[in-house]
Amino acid sequence: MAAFSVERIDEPRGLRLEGELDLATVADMEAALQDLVREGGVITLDVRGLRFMDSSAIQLLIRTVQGLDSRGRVVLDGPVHSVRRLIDVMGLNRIPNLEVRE
Amino acid sequence: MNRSSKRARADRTFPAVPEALVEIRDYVRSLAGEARLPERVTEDLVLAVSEASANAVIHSGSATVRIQWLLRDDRVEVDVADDGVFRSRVRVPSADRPGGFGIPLMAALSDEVSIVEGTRRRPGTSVRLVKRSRQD
Repeated sequence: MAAFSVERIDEPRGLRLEGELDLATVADMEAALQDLVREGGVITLDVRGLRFMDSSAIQLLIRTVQGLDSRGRVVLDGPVHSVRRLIDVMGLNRIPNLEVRE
Repeated sequence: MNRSSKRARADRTFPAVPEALVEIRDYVRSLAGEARLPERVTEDLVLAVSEASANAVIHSGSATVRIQWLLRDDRVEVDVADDGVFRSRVRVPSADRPGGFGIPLMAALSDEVSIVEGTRRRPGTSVRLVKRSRQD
C-alpha cells in the first residue's frame, strides 16, 4: 500500500508529493500548501512520484489557484499517466494560473 | 495461462472511511491485473471506482462500501454499493465552492454508469461502472 508523503522543497520552491493523494490524505497537502499560498509566487508541485490523485485533490488545486489569484501560480511538474489522465478529463489545463509541465 | 487465476466474480466489503479508499483501489488493481486488463483500462477503472467509493464515504452515512467485480467476455462491471441514501443533486460548481465532480468524472472514465438510488425506507445505493476490456 502506497502511503502519501508531502515535503517542502526549495529549488524549485514548492512541494514534493509521493504515493497516493485522495480524500484521506488531501488535508495533509492542504496544510503544507498554506505557507506557500500565503507567500505567493510560483509554487511547484513535484508529482513525479505521485501515482494517484482523485477529484478531492483537484478541488484543492482549484481552491489553491483561486487563493493565489494574481499573486502567483501553480506548476504541476511531471505527472504520471494516471494523473495526467485525470487532469485531461477534468480540463484542468484550461485553468489560468495552473501549468502542467511534462 | 491458468484460467482459474482470472476471477470472473469477486466481492469484498470495506469500511466506509477515507483510509479504505487506497485499499479499494489496490483491490481493483489486483483484480484487473489477474484479468490482464490493459493499463489504460485499469487506470480509468481504478479512478472511477475510487470516486464512487469516495461518494459512499462522504454522502451515504453507510458503515460499509461493498465492491463487486464481474468480468465478462468483453467488459468488466464493478458495483460500488453502500447502505445509505444517495443524495441526487445537480451541483453547479461556483467560484466559492467547487465540488460535485465525482459523477461527471465517473461518467467520463467509464463506458456506462448507472446509479440505483436508495431511499429512506430501503437504503442502499449502488453505482455500477462498466468498462470495455479493449478500448479500440
